[in-house]
Amino acid sequence: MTETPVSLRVTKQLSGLVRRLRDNPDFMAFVLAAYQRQERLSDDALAKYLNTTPAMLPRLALCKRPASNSPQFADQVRQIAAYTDIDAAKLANMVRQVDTLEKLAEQPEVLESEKAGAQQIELRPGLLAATRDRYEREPGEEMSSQPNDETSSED
Amino acid sequence: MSEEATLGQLEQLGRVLHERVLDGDVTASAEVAEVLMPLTISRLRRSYHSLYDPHLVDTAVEDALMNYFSRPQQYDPAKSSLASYLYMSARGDLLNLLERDKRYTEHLRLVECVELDNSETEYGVEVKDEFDLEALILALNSPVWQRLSDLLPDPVDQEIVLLMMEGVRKTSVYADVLGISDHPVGEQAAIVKRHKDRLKKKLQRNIQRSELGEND
Repeated sequence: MTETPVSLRVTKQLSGLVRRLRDNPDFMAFVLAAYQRQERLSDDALAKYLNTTPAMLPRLALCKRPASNSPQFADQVRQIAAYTDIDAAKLANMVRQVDTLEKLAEQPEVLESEKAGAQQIELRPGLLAATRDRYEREPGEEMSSQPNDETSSED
Repeated sequence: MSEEATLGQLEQLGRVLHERVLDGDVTASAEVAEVLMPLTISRLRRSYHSLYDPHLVDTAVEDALMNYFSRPQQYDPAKSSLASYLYMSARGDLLNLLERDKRYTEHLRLVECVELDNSETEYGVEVKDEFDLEALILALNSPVWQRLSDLLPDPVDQEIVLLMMEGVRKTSVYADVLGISDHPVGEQAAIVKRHKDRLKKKLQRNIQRSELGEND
């Protein structure tokens, strides 16, 4: 499959499908939407963070979501990165951050019970730190793990 | 490159992409959408160019793709190409959308953009001039749409009729549906004509003139 830029017309058509897949956790559309909410990023800011164009975002959004607990995670991220020409490390961190915060959100009762146990409380920073942790980078790769650092100039 | 060659490539691409979707390939869904969504929208818009809300076509194609992504195993590559499958699925979704929104009848102009058949074409057959199958089936208050599946329980027959309603004339498309693409071209044409004639006659026999809305 060639990675040619999609036309404006096709991008518009794909965007409609992307909007409807934002609620489907199987797709990157869900991950992107969640990440944008978490980081308060507009489409343009997200594209800037990913060092891509807004027109490429639908292509990324229509990919299936790699399972971060799967042995194929790194390969899947690399495949999406190659297909979209987006930095694999940024994609991996994005998926992991969304995964982790999603899991935390699914466990409100556990968080409540933290008040009764300091051991549980210590898990939270560890989990959150894990979201910033790491896709194995190739030597020489650079990446900001703070998307708003890159986009703050837009505000 | 000939249109048939292009269709053949598209069919092959659809087969490969479908296998990748089934295998859980993470970019296959995006590739299916990128290749087949514009194509399906374009084809459906050509067939339904008089809709009061053209975006219904987009919605229908989105529905078809979402259904495919959630249940790809429902598509049987032995029966049709992925492009045809998505088109038929989107077409069904569009008709459902239209049925839900009765207002469309006030805005839809049933332009005879396609004919059931044409006596000047190679495969033309004699059918009653007033037998406007498209108008008949698109009429939402017609029981024909509901009866179609009763009249033609065979999904292949249904698909052929729907293609005829779309004004599809290429023998290769029908041959694809009938699974005779590997037959000699002349033989394909004869078989396709035989099926089309049979189905038209069957429909003519079973659909009453009163259902054509000829009371005016």
